Amino acid sequence: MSSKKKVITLRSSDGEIFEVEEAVALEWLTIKPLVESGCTDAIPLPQVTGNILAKVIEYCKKHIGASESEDRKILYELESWDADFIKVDQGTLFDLIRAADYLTIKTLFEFTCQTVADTIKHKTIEEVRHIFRESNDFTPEEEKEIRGKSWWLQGL
Amino acid sequence: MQPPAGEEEIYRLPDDIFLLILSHVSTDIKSLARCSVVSSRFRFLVSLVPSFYAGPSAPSSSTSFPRIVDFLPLHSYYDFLQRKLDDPVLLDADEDLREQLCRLKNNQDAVQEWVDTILRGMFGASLFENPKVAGGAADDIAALNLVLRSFMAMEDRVLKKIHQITENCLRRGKTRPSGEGDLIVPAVDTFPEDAGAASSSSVAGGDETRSRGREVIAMLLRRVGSEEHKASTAKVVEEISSAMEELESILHQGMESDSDVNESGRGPGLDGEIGCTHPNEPADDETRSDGSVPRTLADGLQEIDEGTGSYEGALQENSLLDEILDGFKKGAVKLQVVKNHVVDPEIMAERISELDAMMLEAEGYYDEIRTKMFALQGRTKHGLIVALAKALGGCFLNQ
Repeated sequence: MSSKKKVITLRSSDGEIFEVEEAVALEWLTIKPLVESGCTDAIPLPQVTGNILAKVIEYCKKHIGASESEDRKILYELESWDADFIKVDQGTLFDLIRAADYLTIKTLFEFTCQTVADTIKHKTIEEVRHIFRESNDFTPEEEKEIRGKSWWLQGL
Repeated sequence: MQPPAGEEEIYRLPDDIFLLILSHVSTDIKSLARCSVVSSRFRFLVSLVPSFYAGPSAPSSSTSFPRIVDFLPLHSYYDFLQRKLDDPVLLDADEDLREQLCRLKNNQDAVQEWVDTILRGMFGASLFENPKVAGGAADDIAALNLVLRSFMAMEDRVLKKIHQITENCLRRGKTRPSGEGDLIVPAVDTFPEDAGAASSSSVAGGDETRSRGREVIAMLLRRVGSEEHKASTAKVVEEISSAMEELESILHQGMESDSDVNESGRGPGLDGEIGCTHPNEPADDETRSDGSVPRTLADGLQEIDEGTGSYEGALQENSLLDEILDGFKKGAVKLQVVKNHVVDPEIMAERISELDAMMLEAEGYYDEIRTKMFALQGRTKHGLIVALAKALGGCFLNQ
């Protein structure tokens, strides 16, 4: 336990340099092999910008160790910390999802996906379209048919 | 379905991610249903959400709750399959059913749709864990499960399996038509055992997977492209298979490479029944080796395999689009690892940057293909997508 903490250097797409503890980097499965192989150069992360990477690191630092804790107080505290952490604009949220996916950080990915899922849950069709910038490519006939098939969709 | 430009881009999540988000929504069937009306892309993705079939309150009495399967065209095939598996006696007595089976066999789209349903089940185990939802007896569910497992084991032979299962069902119904000698017919007589036995006997050809996978991909891609897309499809096939060839040969070195390759297992049945053009251009290859890669490459690959979990696990847990992307992603990661384990960078640098570019390119094409698939009424092509996913996954992960 007394061994010196190794630091891993990361470089974001916009050239920002970050340093994280090895333990944190090992949670990122995408770069885990590189970390384990003793890579000492800055690991380039061409798909993540500096500000997003900072958020990701912030999250992982907070969560490392704490997630497994059984102390209810710690968990409760972590939960409210998460709630604050995820109060970001939608673009950032989606960027976080992409980053977590790219870096294969399971906890963050699950958390962010769940957040989006919760958002969708109480939205109307139009609102969902807006959130995902999805355009309605059904013809009026098609849409009518789809809705018609399920009576319980008609009121939605 | 043109890509959104600029700012809007960040609000569009890739399909695989979106599918995962949807699966988080799946406990709320109404929300999910709303999503299915958003656009055709969403509609297709919603149909892939496993629990879509087997929501927590999925009913046995269909009046108490909307039957969500009702607006999926697949349910008819599914019911059909259920009935068929239900009772061989009934099958014997039921002339209509027999005819239906024959028709099913002769109708490629129907077969595809049907296998599609089975495959779909693979990704939604819950479908089969809940007999009530499936509307059949527990035994049948188990039987189906067995079939599914054999599907999984034979991922590089999905297409062949289509015939096999069809044939088996026909045999079970004792309505096997003559003149279909090109199909692979296992000797055993009952459906589920058949599938199981077949799978265990043919898993052995693991080394075939890669070359076979490439064949399948080429074939699939060719089929996916409709007339007007033909030109670009051919290019896609070429690019992807060459990218994969390269990738493989590079990954293969340093590991014990024997000259597997050139498995010519595709029988006439495969070409004929599926109705594709002849897959003649892929295969061969893998003979190249310059022996310049240090031994550490293998170690590196092993590491990454351990690090990222097994393909088996991925099969069960991830949704299928996820898998496709995963294949690519892991391929890319492996490349990275290769990069970092190469002792003499000079020898490899050029080759690797070339590969990198190819991977990127292939990924780009993949998006294009996928878009096309959606455009071409994704659902009926779903079986193909699955096979494609498997082939790709197999190529990258079965190293």
